[in-house]
Amino acid sequence: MSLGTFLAILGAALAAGLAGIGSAVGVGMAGQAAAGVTAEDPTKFSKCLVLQLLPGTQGIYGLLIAFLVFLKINLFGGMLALTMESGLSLFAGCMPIAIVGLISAIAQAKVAISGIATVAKRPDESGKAIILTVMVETYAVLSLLTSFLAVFIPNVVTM
Amino acid sequence: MLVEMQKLIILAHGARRNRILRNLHRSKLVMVSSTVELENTQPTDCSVNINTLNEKQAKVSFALSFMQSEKKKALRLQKEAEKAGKKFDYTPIKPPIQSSIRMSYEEYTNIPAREVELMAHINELEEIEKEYLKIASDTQKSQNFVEQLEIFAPLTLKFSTFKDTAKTTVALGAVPFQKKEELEKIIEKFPQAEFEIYGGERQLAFSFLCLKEEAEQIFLELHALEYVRSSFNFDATAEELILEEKEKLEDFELRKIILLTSALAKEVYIAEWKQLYDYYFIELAKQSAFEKCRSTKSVFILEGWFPKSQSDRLKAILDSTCDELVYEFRDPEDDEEVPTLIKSKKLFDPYEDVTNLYSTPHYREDIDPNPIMSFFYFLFFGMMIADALYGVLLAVGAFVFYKLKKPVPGKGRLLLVIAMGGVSTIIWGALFGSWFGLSLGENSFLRHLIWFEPLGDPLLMLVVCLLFGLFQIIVGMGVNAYNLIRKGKLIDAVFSVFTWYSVFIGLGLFVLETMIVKNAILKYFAIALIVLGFAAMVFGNARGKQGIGGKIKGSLLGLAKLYDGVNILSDILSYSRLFGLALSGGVVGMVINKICEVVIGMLPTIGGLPILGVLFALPIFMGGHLFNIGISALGAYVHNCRLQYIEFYGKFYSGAGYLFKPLASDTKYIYIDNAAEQKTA
Repeated sequence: MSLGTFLAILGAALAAGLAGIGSAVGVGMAGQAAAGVTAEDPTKFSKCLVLQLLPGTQGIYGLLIAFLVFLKINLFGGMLALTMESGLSLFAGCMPIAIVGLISAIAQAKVAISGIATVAKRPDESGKAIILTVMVETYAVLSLLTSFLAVFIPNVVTM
Repeated sequence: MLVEMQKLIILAHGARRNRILRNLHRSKLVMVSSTVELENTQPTDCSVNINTLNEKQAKVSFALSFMQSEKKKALRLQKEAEKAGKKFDYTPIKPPIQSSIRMSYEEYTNIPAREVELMAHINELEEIEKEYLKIASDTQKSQNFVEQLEIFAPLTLKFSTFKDTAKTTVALGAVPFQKKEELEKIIEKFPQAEFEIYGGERQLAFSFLCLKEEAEQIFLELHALEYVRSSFNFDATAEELILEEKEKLEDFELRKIILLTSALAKEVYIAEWKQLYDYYFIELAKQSAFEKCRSTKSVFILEGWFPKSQSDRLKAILDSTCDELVYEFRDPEDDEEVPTLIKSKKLFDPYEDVTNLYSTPHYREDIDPNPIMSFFYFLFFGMMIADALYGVLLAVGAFVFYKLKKPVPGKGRLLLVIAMGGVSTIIWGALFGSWFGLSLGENSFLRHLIWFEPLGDPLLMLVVCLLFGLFQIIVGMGVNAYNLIRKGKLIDAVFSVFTWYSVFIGLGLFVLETMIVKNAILKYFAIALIVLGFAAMVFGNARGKQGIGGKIKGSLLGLAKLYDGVNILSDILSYSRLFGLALSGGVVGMVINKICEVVIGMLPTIGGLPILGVLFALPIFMGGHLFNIGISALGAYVHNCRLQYIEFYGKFYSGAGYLFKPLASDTKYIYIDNAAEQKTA
């Protein structure tokens, strides 16, 4: 395997890994809050569950980019040997979703937790709590877009 | 369509209030509002009635939650009994799958006839609960007693053996086991006293016999070792007593099961209790509605809203209610806050819930946003899941569930939104050529349906998403213009919407010219349109300002309007979430397929067929795709809502209204069905 290929895989690993960590932490935090509310009133479980799941999408976005990199370097059918530059470019393309995924999932989880508190007090307003939480995700979507274009458009250069 | 409302004012004799409220409730036409303050009238006070009703309702709600926990207990017990090979028979009564109990008004009026009996059963439940509490405290006591007795379990003598004599003290007690060495030191210190240690695991039980003069000294020393002297003087040994207590504890368990069985015998009343609960709810709602009225000694005044189209029916109902009442219908006055009732075509009806989740349209400010919003909601939902087979599953699943649930009018509409979203998903999935993320065969007829594959040409996908966004935003501005013109603000519409249209058309022509046509005149025309639009925006802000200074100031402030361009741009970019969600759903599906492929490839084949591999891959395939459907549908639902609320409604919708809810209509369990009545009326 060339160093370039390694860098590309490293980028993919970081995209799926860091965004996954963010989602895991976020869903975990929100889950704790949801469990608390559910303990008080089990009928609010479904509303809490929706809010808990919202910070989970960043992990999926990370996976998307990682998978795209795998397709790009033909991981499934005999790997390509990338040049250093090409590998670095794929690595750089992975960074937006890796970093923004990590941080935005946690930021979103904080809103989700407040949203779960809203559900606890006023279950009828859960729709508004969901919207407030989704606002954060915009930036994860934008970084996904950036990563996607940066990984997808440049042609890979093999040695 | 927003339904035109009218105000109802009733002036009637106080003695007839129950009959009037009953008929208003039955009609489902009137939402009672607060009566304006009038001279010589007082606010009405129903707090006594409300308190009694609240208490009764709380009792029923206790019964319902108590029964729920008893049922859970019974199921758990049954499982345990099964494991232990014992028998505890319990077959729970299955609650009907329909979410509401439907009944006619006659059936509803029969509920109070059963009140006394149903309440008596609740009283029995309360007794059972008291009994439980008593058993719990007895059990606790017994357990504590056993714990104390167990300290002296090694002792084979009866407690009554340890008695003082005239000259000596005989004491039985214990110290913690760790204090054994200290205790031995004390024993050495008092050679005249007779100690006997019995042993024990945590507590060291021992007795001693000494002269009365010495006793105080010994107790003092022992006190430092956390010595506890037994005060038991039973004529029995610890072991005998423990056995006795254990029997008692077993008896408690038995009694608890008997109590549980008698509680479960009440399970048949749950449905009726639910009815009773809502009966109290309706009575409470009527009382609180009456509290909004004002009254004199003998007369009360009630105000409320009703749909204008139903005035004939309401008139008939009021005329037949009683003679001691006069009423008036009138159109709402300008300063009155009128509740909003939306009447939609059947197709758009479910989408009312999407809007109501955000906020209710204002009676005067807003037009009914649902028809146009539902179109976009439908359009985007499928785009975000973008797999035809997922769509089939969603549509069929949600629709079957809806049919099983048979929700009453106005409920369960979200299920229909999802079912329709499923249809939209089928269409988009076919257009994108995605069927469970599997690759289609070369000659598959499904290939003819494909417009393009998003993963094959993601840039086109992105452009399509953003164009849809631009389209929705242009439509949103158009709705705003329509709404402004409707309210007679044509000039506002021109300056805040048509200026932007001019810019958009200009930009469109400019792009057309540079990319395809190449025509200098067209180019200048395009630029002119853009400049005209922006100029109108800036100078339009000066309208209505006083004097030349004011006009200049207004125009300068109008420069800030250009900032709206940034907002519109970010709104359009926000539609890239369509792109993100569609691709992420698709990629997750592909990952699942890839895993299955690898599993099948790894496992040995039997007679050339990958039977073993398929056997292992099938659960992964089904579980994985179900998970993906769940996540994608959740994402599609919330992100679609966000696009509608923020990007679309942000352009024209105030949402400052409140919903029209007829008197006591939001019951929890029952639904009074008088559709037949309404038809004949």
